[in-house]
Amino acid sequence: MSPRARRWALGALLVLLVSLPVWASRYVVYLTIHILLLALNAAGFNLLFGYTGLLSFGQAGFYAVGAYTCARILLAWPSLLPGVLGGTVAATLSAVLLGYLSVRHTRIYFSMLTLAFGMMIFSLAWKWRAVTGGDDGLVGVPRAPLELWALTVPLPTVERYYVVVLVAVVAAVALLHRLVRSPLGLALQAVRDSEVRAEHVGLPVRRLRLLSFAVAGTCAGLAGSLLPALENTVTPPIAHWTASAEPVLAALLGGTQRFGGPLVGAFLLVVSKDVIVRFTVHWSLVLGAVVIALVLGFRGGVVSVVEPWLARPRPARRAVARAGEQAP
Amino acid sequence: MEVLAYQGLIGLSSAMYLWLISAGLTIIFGVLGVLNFAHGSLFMLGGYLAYTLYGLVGLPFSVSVLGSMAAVALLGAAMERGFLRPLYGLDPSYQLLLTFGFVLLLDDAVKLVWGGVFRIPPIPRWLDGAVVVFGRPFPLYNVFLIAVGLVVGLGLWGLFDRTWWGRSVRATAADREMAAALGIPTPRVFSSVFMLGSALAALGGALGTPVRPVAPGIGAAMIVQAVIITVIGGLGNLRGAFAGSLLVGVLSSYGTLWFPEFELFFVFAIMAAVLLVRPQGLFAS
Amino acid sequence: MSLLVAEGLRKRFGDLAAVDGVDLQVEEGGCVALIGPNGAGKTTLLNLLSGHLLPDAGRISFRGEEVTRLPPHARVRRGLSRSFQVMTIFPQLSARENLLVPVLARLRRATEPLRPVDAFPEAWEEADALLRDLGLLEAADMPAASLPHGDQRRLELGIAVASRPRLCLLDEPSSGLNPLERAGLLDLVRRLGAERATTFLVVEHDMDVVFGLAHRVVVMDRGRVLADGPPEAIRADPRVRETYLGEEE
Repeated sequence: MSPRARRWALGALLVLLVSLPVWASRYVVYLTIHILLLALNAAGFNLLFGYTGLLSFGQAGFYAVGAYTCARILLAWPSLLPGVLGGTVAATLSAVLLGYLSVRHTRIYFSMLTLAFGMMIFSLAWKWRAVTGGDDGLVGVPRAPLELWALTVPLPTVERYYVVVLVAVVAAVALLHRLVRSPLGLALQAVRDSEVRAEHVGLPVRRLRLLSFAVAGTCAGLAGSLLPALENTVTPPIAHWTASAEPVLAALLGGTQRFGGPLVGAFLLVVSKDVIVRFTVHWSLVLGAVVIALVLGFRGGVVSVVEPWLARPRPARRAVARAGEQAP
Repeated sequence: MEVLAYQGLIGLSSAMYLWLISAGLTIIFGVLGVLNFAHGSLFMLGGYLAYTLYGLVGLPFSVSVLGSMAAVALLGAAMERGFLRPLYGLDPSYQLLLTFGFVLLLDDAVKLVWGGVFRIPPIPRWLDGAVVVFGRPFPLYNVFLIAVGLVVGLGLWGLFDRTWWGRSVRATAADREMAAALGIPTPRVFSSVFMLGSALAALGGALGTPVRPVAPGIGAAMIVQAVIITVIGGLGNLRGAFAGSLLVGVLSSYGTLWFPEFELFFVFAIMAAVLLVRPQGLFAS
Repeated sequence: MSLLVAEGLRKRFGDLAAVDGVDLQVEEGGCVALIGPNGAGKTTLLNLLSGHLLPDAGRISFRGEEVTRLPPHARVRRGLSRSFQVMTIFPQLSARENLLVPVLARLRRATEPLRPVDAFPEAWEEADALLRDLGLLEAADMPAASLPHGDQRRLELGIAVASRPRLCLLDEPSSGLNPLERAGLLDLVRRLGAERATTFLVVEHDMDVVFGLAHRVVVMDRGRVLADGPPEAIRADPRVRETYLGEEE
């Protein structure tokens, strides 16, 4: 797509999203919130996987830290902003701490460490009754009003809350996009391509990995913090390792080689799940088959399949994707 | 004191399920370098198949167990040949993701075939009953489990140390290219190792059927346990997996006695600590 | 003041003393060749100097500062870079990006998080100037992995010099090249060294290349320095002829 066409498409998408509550049903708005949350989580995950080369199986842990912290704050102090900020900061801090330990390893050992840390968070959510409510979770979380200085915006409906989520997610994704195109984004890709070469051109590899991990954890945490006010409850399954697979699947489905891949993937994942479960309860059977097909045949994801039809061929970029698949 | 010893014995028998499933996982990782997330699902499938043959069809227990092992081994071979083989040499993340696809597929497929409801078949008559240990009755079936675990351990040791096949597997694990250059058919070694590992998972699942219900989702639960043990014992280390199974089995048996609340937390904390401090495993030589 | 001083460096791998008490000084300017039979410890020595491995004993100082235990990236910042025997580039990045990474790192801009890469024209110009020197400007937007082997070797050399090192360690920079490409690459080394005031320490197998390029030759054998001097003296040294050139024939 030419930059001009891209800008138009992006503008059209934004108009569509902003006007959604006007013309769409409440259920569609509710579903779109879930798409946005997963999109943010998956885009953060892909900074770590697609750009830095680290496969984390623990993103649900940071999502849950965000969600539980936000829920506790809202229960004590019903004001949205402190809840969301508090949840996000808590997730960032835990990502820095656990990331500091996790990035000592790469590849399978890194994945196993993040799995273990994620599951430690899950078991706290499940068993630490006094703080997390145990397997009942935290219930009755209010959809607290958004208080900005003197201004108080009540959020009684899903539609109004949707606007808050949209603003937060679009802002976070835009920041992430800037990051990816910055020298830092380039440095992360250098670390992914060759750790040894990267440290021998003067990059502090471990610190860069930690940074990427912290940003991914922050994205998961922000997404998680936006959940309790929507659902009014937070329960342990959101922390389980099988929930960590959701951003992984979204990124894989959309394509890990492009910034937009995980966003497209989140849309496809949530929508196709919603559609498929109307016909069959065996949603995960279908998903499993799709994952297997993607890994075997289309490691560039949906975006790389669709893109050639939309785009004037851009040999360099397309070849990058192909070279990426063949790199060891 | 006797309570402790008795509880240890209970732990020992549950350690044997863990041993059977983690043995297969670690063998496959050691030779192929693939961490098979779907290994727990193979365990589960072994359980369902044995339950069907024994509980529904009415075949003898031993025949059912062997039958389910054979069927799952064939499935494992199909997975390795048809799906994993094209991914060797790529980023190992893709192998993890592929096997995760199989977790989703298999966990749901068993629901499709067997539904959510299930019954536990009776314990075969020759294994029903109890022996008295420390003044309490100890189920005969658990004694049988411990015996099977030990026999499998000895069998694997003999297989790897004393046979031509075992030597070629070890050569392949040590250096793929060198082994191939020496004329060892490494693709066939890979398939046979994957079949063996899958059969062991099925054995674990099948032996569980008369005493623990097999349900959808048990695959995801078992794989996490098996991964923990495999990590603690050292990825690819068979003796380590045995020791790790005993450690986790017995510890969580005491854990449920003393701090049931945080058993899960501590098990994962141990896994993380091992990865950080001794990534080659606690029992590496 | 010497650029690099290594004293009593030792590194063991199990029973093998790969580097067994090496003293080495490198002065500013020109090209020093490091030769020796396979297993002499040349690559291990380079790994110790660049920080890829830490020595068991001994010390390394660079431009008057002790760097013995500094991580590689800190040594690069002080002006000590290297290339590798096995091709080590950023395969998925474009040729230009391969050079932008070290250039941005040198300009202390590598962790700039919010401004796009295009907002650093000085880095682009520098990367493109280097691409032109390497003869790779046409391929600037091609992913590095898709370049022919010879181009990748030149790109790798470019990455090593893009951080404007005072001393650049090259480990068999011409391996896998045909004689013509090899001559071209070494000519490039000579030219870049002169233009950028970079001193090279080069591990090389091809004797014609060594004696054509270097003003000084260090010979290693079994983890020690066997001989050290100008090429003519090395060529005439009977010990070298026996242990090294003898093996080559």
